[in-house]
Amino acid sequence: MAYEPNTPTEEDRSRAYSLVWAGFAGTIVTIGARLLEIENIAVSIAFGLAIGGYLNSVFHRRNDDYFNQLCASGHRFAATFLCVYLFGMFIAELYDVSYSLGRAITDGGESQREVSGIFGHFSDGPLLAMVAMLTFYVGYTVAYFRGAQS
Amino acid sequence: MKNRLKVLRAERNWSQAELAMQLDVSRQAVNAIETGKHDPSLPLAFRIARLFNMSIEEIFDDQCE
Repeated sequence: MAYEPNTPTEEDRSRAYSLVWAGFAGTIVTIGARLLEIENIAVSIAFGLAIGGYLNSVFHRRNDDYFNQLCASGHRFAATFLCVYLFGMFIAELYDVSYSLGRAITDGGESQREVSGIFGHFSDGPLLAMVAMLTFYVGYTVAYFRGAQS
Repeated sequence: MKNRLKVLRAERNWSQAELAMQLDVSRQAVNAIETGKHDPSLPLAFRIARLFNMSIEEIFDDQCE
């Protein structure tokens, strides 16, 4: 049998599950701190845990099938959130274009309204990424309690 | 999917962690299979069957959903 020094042990595989729970808690702390505008070392550590848990989900070769299925469920939740977000942006963009076009046709001039006004609510990129990360953890948790069937 | 993994493990006095170590999975994965929360992949089902010297059908029952 070939010597493979980096083969994950049972402990390594089990640790991945704990890391996800730590990441979930870290994400909640990070988002809360961002909304409340709190910055300190504890928040930085929580942010690190949040990213670590999320990053661990993509190293599928080091984890077992069950963990990968739980993570797949989480990734589906995150992708759904992004799709809804992008669809919302699409609707907002349609509204902006139709408004400007309507003004141009009726007034024969430029729209006075700021076109990007609606996008203001959607434009906090880091917060968006954190919420997407949170939906990953929510999806993982849902699959964990409901069961991950292939 | 129902299975006899818990009984087979208990007959050998193995803990979930010991079985997990032999199957190259985590203890949580063994627990999820035993409680019916997770159906193992085909390669893992074969590893389980080989470990217990049984056929897959003797361990897993897909008729009892």
